[in-house]
Amino acid sequence: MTERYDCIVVGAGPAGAAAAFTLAKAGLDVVVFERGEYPGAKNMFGGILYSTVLNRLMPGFWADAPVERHVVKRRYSFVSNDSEAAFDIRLDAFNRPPFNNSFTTLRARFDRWFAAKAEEAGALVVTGAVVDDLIIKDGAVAGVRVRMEGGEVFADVVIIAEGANSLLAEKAGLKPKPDSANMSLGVKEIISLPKGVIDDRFGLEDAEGAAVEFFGEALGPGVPGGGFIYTNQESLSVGIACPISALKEKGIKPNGLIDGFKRHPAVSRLIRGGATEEYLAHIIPEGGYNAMPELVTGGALLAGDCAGFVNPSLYKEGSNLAMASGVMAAETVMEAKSRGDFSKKTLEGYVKRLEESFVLKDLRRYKDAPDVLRSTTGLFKDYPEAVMEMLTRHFTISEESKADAHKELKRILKGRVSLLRLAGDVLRLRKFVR
Amino acid sequence: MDIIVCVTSVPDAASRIEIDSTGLGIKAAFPSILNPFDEIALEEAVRLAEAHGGSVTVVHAGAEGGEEPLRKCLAQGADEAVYVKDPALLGADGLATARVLAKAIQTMPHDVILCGRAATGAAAGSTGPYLAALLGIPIIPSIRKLKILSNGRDAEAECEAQAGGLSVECGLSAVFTATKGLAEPRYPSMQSIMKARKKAIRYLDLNALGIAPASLSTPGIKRERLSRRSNARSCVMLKGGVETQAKEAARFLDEKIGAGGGR
Amino acid sequence: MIWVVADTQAPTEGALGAARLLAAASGRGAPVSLILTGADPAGAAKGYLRSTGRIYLLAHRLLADASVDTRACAVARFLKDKETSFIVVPGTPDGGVLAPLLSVALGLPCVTNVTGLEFKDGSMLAQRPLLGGKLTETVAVDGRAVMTIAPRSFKETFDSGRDAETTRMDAELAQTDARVRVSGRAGQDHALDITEADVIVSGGRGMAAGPNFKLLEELAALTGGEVAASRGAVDSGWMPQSRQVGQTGKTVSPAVYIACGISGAPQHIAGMRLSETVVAINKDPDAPIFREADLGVVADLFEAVPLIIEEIRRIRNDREV
Repeated sequence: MTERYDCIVVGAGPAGAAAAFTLAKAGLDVVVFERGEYPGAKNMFGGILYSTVLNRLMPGFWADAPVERHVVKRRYSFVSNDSEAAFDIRLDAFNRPPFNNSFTTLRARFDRWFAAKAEEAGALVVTGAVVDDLIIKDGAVAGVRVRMEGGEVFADVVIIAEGANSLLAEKAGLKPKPDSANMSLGVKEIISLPKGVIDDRFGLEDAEGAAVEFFGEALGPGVPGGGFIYTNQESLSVGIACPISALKEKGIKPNGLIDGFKRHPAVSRLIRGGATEEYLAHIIPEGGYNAMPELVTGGALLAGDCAGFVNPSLYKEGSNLAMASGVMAAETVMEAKSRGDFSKKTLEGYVKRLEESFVLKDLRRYKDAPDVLRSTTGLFKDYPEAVMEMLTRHFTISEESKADAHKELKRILKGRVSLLRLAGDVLRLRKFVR
Repeated sequence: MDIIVCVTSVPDAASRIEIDSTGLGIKAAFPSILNPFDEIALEEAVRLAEAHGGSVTVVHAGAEGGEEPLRKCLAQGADEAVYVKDPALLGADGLATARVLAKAIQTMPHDVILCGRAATGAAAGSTGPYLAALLGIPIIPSIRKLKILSNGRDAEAECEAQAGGLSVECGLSAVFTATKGLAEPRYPSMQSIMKARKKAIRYLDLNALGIAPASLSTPGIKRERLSRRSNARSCVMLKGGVETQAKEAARFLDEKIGAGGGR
Repeated sequence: MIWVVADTQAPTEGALGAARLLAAASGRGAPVSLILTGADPAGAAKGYLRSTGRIYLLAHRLLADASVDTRACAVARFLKDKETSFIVVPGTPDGGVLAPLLSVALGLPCVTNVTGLEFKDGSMLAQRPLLGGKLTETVAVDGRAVMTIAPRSFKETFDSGRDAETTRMDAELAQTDARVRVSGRAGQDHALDITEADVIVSGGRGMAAGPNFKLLEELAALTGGEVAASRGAVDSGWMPQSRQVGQTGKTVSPAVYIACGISGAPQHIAGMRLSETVVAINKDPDAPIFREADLGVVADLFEAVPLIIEEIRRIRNDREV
């Protein structure tokens, strides 16, 4: 007995579940193979779900979904070795639906819920199922080989949404072996604290949440990357992201990196008294537009992280892009089915959809971000020190005349970095900080 | 032969545990998996049914979330799944759950009742003994081998005991609890997963079993509070070459163990 | 009356210690009675003569090498018409089965795996770890209960100063009560239960081969400990199943846990989280085991362990001199 479906989805993360949900709702027979013991078992992200796409799929989803808090408060914190300058915003509009489409979320819970929604819609989700190979017939993908007895499963089309570790896409020749130059390492801890403590410390109440992003020397002098703290109901997501190339170059261990971040006074104040409950590490593909693989071939499409859909700005937004690409892959499959044609040519419609959407528009806009962020070394060393020195001057109470103080400020900046270089860096960086 | 397997789900070892706002309950939504010992029990049950004929029925009692472990059992070879689902079972203790399971089992034919030695993460392992006591049948705990004799009425088993193993024999029906070594859970085949999808879970509730929800609380004991383990460790990583580190470690161990150590 | 049911295979000190606390708190100085079962348990009673005031020897030929099913039947019948406030049972594998059986037979609530007792305003609070030690549950016990005591808890030494009053009773058992008959013992690993060990030297996949555990045995002998293993090492056939620590093995809480070449999967941590002090030896400084350790040695265990053994010997020699 061989099984045949309209569509096979590999991976039950945000991209795969969004695709399966969309297809099943349209009445297609769809099966999802997830390698983890349960959806979300091995998944990780920073901790904020941007939900414009999800809200379109399931309006008002937050009433049902296991979201932790909605983000009403954002804080950009620029740190030097021991000091901090921060910009803080809290918007009341973010306290009303759709809550600015920003929710802190724990993936193990959320992914399970999302996959269950796809199941309710009629998809079959098989967990603990490792897909070893694609089955190719007449030059096109015709199914998958799952690592289990009788594991050959056939379908009109396969949506590959297997995540950053994209062995299947590589085997299919859609993607070269990933270059570590295009990867960042994300390390994150879930640190538990009582709800009351989190509310007081971050100035929140009820389901309000805060997101704090750390720039500058958050990971140590000259180490590119950044850190973050997001508030869950009764825990904090505390993490860092750093290019793998920089780790190698400087011989830094990821553990040391997050430990150092946690020890920074600006961070340790916020996590004080908490107990680390979970420790997660994950690679983040961030080659961006320039490193994007072939997105379609005959009988198959790539969606989510394995397609490189991660915004490589300082934000690394990925799950929203993943869901968007999953939905568009599903729509393309539905169109192909109505035409009865799953050739590469028809599936190219997927790329067109992506080009017209924020997914590829954003990736294009930020296409230089990885190089720029990596080459602007001042951002992680000289600038934090210069800015901090200037601000220290500005706020230190003394009897120095204001005119003299002003001159002194200029001198500090000049001494540290050339104004020309600063201006150039500011221009280049402006757009990557959102 | 009619084989019953009682199953439950347990939090994944890696999952984060959250206490609810009452301070008395654990939030149910954490990632959970089929109790590994129950999975072993199920595998043994399926093998027995394959060898002797008969059917395997998995039973679960709880307030919510039981579909997932039951579906998994169906995919791994169970013939039928019974879910006693009732909101009154939220936070039910081990004895209450066992009473509900026992009532449900009394409504079905049963020669062999299997369950995991314990739910992982809980050192207790009371479900099997409770079931046996409530049903008035023998308990054979922590078995690593089970053989049904050709008469179909007697069984021989090997139990894990304090000092090695224990060979025992008993008449059926009886409750056996499974420990590691009894059977290696199989990977389900694609066919069995597809077949499982077509099997329906049979639902029961307390009313159907004639159990008054109020009778479920165990008189005399009450959960007073739940607290998180507070002493998270912070590791002192030794520096230097292996000789230096070994010296420090030896001094540390000698201090901790004291002169009493050594025989 | 507070009753302690002795385990036939394992020490009962912890259960006796807890029972004495219960007796002291009850105010009336309720006596603690120890029940021993067997064909002729008099010999076994010798070790407990000064641990308690009163000993009951519950004797029957069917109780020779009896199954826990049969023992529970005999003990329940013996206690049926006795005044009981608490029945305390050691938290051994057998005790963990005996307690719920007695609880149903005698209609008493059951609290398992107790690690601590508190008395407040006339009520008793029992603590027990939940979910691999991630949580502690506190249970209020109102009046009577059956309790199992976690290994290594309440183990203080005690000497009553005089021999216990010993009564021998014939257990009320018929042939049909021996529903589960023991036909033999098939033991190859007759170690002390590792859950009772004060020091555990544990090896993981980093041990590379079974014979290498000799090295850990040497360290265990030196520190008065027992050797244990992670699931990886057990599944590789290097150590018997009975010595596995972790989710599908034993849960241990020794004074000192020495993890050698163990990476520290969550399933392993679940079995040793409650150890008092943890020393980890691993080549990989990023191994998760270090997050559950108090002291970390980043080195090849085959270099580090012999050096540690040598150094402990040297320290002890110097002290003796």
